[in-house]
Amino acid sequence: MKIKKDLSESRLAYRFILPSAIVMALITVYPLLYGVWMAFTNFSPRHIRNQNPEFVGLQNFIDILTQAPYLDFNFLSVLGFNFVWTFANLIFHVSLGVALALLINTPGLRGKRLYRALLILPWAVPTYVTALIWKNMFDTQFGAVNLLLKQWQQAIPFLPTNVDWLGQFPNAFYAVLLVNIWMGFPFMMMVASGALQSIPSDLYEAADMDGAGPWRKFWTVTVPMLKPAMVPAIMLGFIWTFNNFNVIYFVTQGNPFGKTEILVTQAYKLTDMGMYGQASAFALIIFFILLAFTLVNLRVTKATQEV
Amino acid sequence: MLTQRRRFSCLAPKGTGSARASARLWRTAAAVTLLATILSGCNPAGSTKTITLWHPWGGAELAALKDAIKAYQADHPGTEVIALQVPSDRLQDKYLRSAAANGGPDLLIGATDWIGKFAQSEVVASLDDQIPEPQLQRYQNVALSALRYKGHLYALPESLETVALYYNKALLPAGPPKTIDGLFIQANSRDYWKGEYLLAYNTQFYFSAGYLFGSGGKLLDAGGQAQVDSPGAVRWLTLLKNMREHPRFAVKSDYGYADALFREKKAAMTINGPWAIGDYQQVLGDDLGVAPLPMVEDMVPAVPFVGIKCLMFNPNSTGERRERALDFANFFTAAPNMTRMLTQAGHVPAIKGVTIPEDSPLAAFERQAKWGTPLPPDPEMKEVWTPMDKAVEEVLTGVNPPAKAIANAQKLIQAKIEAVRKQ
Repeated sequence: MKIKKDLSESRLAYRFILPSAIVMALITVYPLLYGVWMAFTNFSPRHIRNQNPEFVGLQNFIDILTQAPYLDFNFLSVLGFNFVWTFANLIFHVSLGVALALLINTPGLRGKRLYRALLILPWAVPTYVTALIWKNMFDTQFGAVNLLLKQWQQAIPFLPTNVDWLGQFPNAFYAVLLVNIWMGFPFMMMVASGALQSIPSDLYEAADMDGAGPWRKFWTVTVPMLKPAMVPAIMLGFIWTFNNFNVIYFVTQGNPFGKTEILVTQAYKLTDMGMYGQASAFALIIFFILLAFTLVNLRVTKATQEV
Repeated sequence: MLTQRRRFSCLAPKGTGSARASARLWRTAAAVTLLATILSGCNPAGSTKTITLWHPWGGAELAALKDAIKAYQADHPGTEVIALQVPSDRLQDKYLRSAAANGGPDLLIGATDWIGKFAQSEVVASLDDQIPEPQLQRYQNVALSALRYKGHLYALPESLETVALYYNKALLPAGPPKTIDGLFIQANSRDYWKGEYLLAYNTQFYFSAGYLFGSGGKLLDAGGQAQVDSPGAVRWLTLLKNMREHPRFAVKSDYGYADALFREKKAAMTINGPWAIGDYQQVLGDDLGVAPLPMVEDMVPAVPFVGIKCLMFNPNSTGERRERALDFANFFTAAPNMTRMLTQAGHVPAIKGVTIPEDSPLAAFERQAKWGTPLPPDPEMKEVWTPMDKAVEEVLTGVNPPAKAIANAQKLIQAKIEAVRKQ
């Protein structure tokens, strides 16, 4: 009953959003549903023109999860790496972001605006540009990173030189991690410095009266007051990093041997191989993983709002 | 004050005639510009005819292509050739997807091994009865027969491609080695050569396959089944491993790495295709030499892939568009333009009339091609490249010994072939 009443009351509003709703349905909803349908077929380039792929049921999902012989990746290890990648990034993003925000918020600091503008720069450059520049900087023979290491080695003799950054496993992970840390911390810094400015100063004064030192003030005043702003930002950062196609694809392409592959880049490679059905199934799996995470996220953010 | 100002304001439009005229001129110009902008969309379709072309060429090859297009447009006023450069490792997939979705260019510069996959996916037009007999007579028979798949002609040949040994005469006074044994003897002694590395070798499968076939290895059998696991393949991977472990060789599956070392005169030799000759000549000048690949052993030559760069036609472009594309292809593969591509871009012509001068470094590619093996057109070839590259990488980085790596590749290729057949 209530729904019916709501509907009749807001009929005019629905008419206003109708045009954009139609556009959304055509360019977003339809392809999404089409992708879901593709996940259950043997869709390949041949079927783009002559539609009628065969229905294969859950075969694509089974093939992916049990690593059918024609797939050269193991789903669970890609998923595992994806989580390691996400958490490693978030730890650095948040700690670096908060630390820099605290530094910038030092009362009476000169040139605050300049520092802030410079530190935001990594965020302002299109990610694929940054990624490609970093890829070249990691070149073994001619890259800036190795050339720099060579120079520093004169002062610090135990530094490694001629490091094969992108061709060997842990190195390639450190390389992509470094790139993404560099690109990701400004966002956390912005959120944190915004939240820091809104902490009322009388809280610190009260803490001073109670004889709290700077360390104590940080943990009992700053951290709890930052939490409501940081938790949603961290959740958002989780999803962005989890699905961060640009850095992985442009810097390592998942090499060596697919060890730095994350789920989205692996799904993209399936599309490249013309296995559209399997790629859609893969995308659907990623969707469900992120859906589960988003539901948890909603719970958690609601909880922080109530505090 | 007041009257003066009023007088001034009413005088202005009448008095300064030139200002009025220029204002009118400005208004007319604005109207014309706006109308022209609006109406340019209504340009009748016939007045500028276009031919779209996708190609993988860069460097000296791109410059030669641009000159060719300029020459064609000068001969055909009103026709515009729109060329889009796509990186060579992306071109096949991009074209396959676009053409399958009823799009894509009129014309594609492609390679022999794409033909089977394209024919199967119906994204390449058959040229049976489309090319006049005199034009067909122009092409070398070897080249034409390589572009037939299941009895139909699918492309027009442009140039022959294979890999050979480039060397820097200044760094290698002893001259290039005849055999692999000779290569290692040179590597072990600094008497024969100068520089940091003797050989910079990009071991991607296309570039190293010469030693697979030279050692007796195979890829596919007649029925399109994987046949890569063989003693010859193990010998091939072992050779690559030995090269990698030798400090005088720079061995890596990376085109840019080998290319840069040779250009910067840090490596005395490299293995690359004829497309690089223009760029290498620019850097090394007369010091550049080209020789056939070192033989596997005496009298057993390396057998690299011989591919044919060819012009393919999109089945989605029909009627007048097809006619124009055919006309451009006719122009492009005629003797004057083939001479241009030979001299500017180092293309080994696939037509009978144009020959490479004996003293040209390109002659080595022609000789090498005689020992080569044609790049198979089978659709299964698309599944071969990645697993073979992976096998090379596994051996070079020591993840797997040669026998294990090639056995893995065999399994992966066969499974991929079967999966694709089921689609």
